[in-house]
Amino acid sequence: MSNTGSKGRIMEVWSRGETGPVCFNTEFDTKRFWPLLKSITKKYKIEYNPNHICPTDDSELDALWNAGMEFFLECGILNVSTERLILFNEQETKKVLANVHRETVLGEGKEACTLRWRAPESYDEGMNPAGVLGRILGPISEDLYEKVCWSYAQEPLIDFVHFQGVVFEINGTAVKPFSPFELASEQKRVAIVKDVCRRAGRPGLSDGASMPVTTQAEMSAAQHWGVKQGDVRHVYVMPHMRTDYDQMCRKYFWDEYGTNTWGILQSFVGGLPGGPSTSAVNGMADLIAYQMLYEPSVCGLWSSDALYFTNTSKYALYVDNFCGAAFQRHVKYPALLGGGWQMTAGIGSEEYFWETACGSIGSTTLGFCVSGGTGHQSGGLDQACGLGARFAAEVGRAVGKARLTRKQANEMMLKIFPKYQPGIDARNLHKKGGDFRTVYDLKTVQPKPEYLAIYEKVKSELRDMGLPIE
Amino acid sequence: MGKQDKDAVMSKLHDAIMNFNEDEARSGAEEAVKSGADVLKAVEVMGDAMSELGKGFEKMEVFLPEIVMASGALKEAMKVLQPEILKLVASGTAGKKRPIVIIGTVKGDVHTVGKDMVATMMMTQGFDVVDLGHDVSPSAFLDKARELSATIIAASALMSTTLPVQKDLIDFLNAKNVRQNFKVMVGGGVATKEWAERIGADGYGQDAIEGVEIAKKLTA
Repeated sequence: MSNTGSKGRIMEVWSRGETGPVCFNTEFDTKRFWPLLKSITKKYKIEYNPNHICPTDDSELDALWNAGMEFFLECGILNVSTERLILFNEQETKKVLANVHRETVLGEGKEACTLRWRAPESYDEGMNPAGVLGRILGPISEDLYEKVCWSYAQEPLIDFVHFQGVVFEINGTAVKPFSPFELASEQKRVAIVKDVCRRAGRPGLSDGASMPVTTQAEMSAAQHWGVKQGDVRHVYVMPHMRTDYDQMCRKYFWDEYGTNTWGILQSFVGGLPGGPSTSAVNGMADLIAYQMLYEPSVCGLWSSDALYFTNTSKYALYVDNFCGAAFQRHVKYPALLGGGWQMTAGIGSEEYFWETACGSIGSTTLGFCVSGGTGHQSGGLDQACGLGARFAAEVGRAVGKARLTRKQANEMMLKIFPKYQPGIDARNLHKKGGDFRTVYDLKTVQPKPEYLAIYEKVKSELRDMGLPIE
Repeated sequence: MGKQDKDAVMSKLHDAIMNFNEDEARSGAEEAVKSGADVLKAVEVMGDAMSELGKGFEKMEVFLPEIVMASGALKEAMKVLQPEILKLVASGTAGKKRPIVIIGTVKGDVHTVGKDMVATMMMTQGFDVVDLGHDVSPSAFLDKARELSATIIAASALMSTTLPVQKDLIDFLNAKNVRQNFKVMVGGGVATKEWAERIGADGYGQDAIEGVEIAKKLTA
């Protein structure tokens, strides 16, 4: 476990939600959050440039950092459980940010991997050079559950996994939050994951899933046979500068149990935080808020479009890349989990691989980890496979081999967007591709030749673009 | 008050919505009533302003909090205009009532972004939207819909584990024998058209834009 463990400070911070200024949930967005966000974004002249998705100008990052810091200090965090603000002053914020943990260990034994800060365009440190997150999200059929997990555990380039496929039925009964079936489903999920990892020869492979809705269901698998200290569980600053007691309880429990926690920047572009520039300022403040409220072991970049759910649009990757780069320039936190956690297109489609490539190119160049595996907006049935995460890892390695500059990465991303962004603009990209049953041979748990051909085709085109992917 | 003054009042109401200004909307409505202006025309003008904002919202020129503020301004004006409209209803000269939509994220689910997008777009397209927030039980949907004589109940669920609550909602409506009184729409990350058909919902929207199109069809 890699937390700094300053629970004493965090308890004092959380208690401010009992004494801070009253701010009604119904008024926070319109009377505090939005007017401040709009004016501070304008003050610092933060502007979105569609030709500039991977940042190359450090002065732009500094402006975003300053805007995010001012917004964080002025707005504060709303505790929706108490309808009071948790406020911070500049001095304490800078003190905490100067004292964040410098490395995080995920997993155990020979599967333990250490995440450290890595500078942009720096390829001689870090993990290969980027750590690789395999991501499973969304509903997974009962008969496929073990096989989908296996498809990730068998991939040697994957360093840690969010085995977050949803078990949605127990013996034919629908699993609902707060029901005993939810506890049973989480226990079943953890048991399958641990068994698969053990049989794959990777018993210490870190599981960062946060499948259940309720804290009690998560806690139910905190057993000697279940959640390990090398695993990770989420704790959220809920989107757009809010949190609640449920999140604090999660953090309190997992710290006590000794397991890592993760958090993610969540800025829904086009929704509450407005357009891409205001969303970036909100995202910047989000990352600062995590350190002040929760000190998670690891943080991710997870912006999305609000109107049509996608993690890999130009808007989402702009927010992720600029916020992540600005944060790492000023804080030097362990490598962030870079943008593009789940793809919009279904697994096995060309677009799915292009989305994965676009996220990985920016992330690796900027010093983040890469991620991949899930498709179909993480909403479709059986839309996850290890091949996508393998591909993310291979792109990351190729970026390191090519030693891409930020400018080169940006140019390459701009060449890739036309291969899938039109499907996002038309709101039909999720209809592409197959699912686990169609993409994998279910006996061998290997990708079928026709889908490997698509994967090879995209790799070949990447080579033509100048990326030396093997 | 002459035509020019009445036009000025309409213009004031339009601008109040466009500028999300509750005070101006209320005083504009008061002026409209005092001057004997056509209150139905006043509602139409404000509806047009909401539609303009809606177009800007789709193009990311106007943002969600601003639509919420504009909707607040519209509601302030309606508090003043509603008694006059009721008089017209009583005399049989009122136009069509704005359909009421009860919307929320179902019990056990805390995800609100998609639901907020749908609610926001509906506000700009001629619906009176009552947003119950998240973690809304089937009973809470039902009670509010009956209280307000709603036309549509829209239930969002992001997760596979909260999807069954959409079916519960329809089961509850059937159990109370009021299913035929409401159109039920479902949506959310894992909801599909097939799921909507299987549970007997009246409409399904893949995203906010489609959701509003379906709502318009259901109320046409």
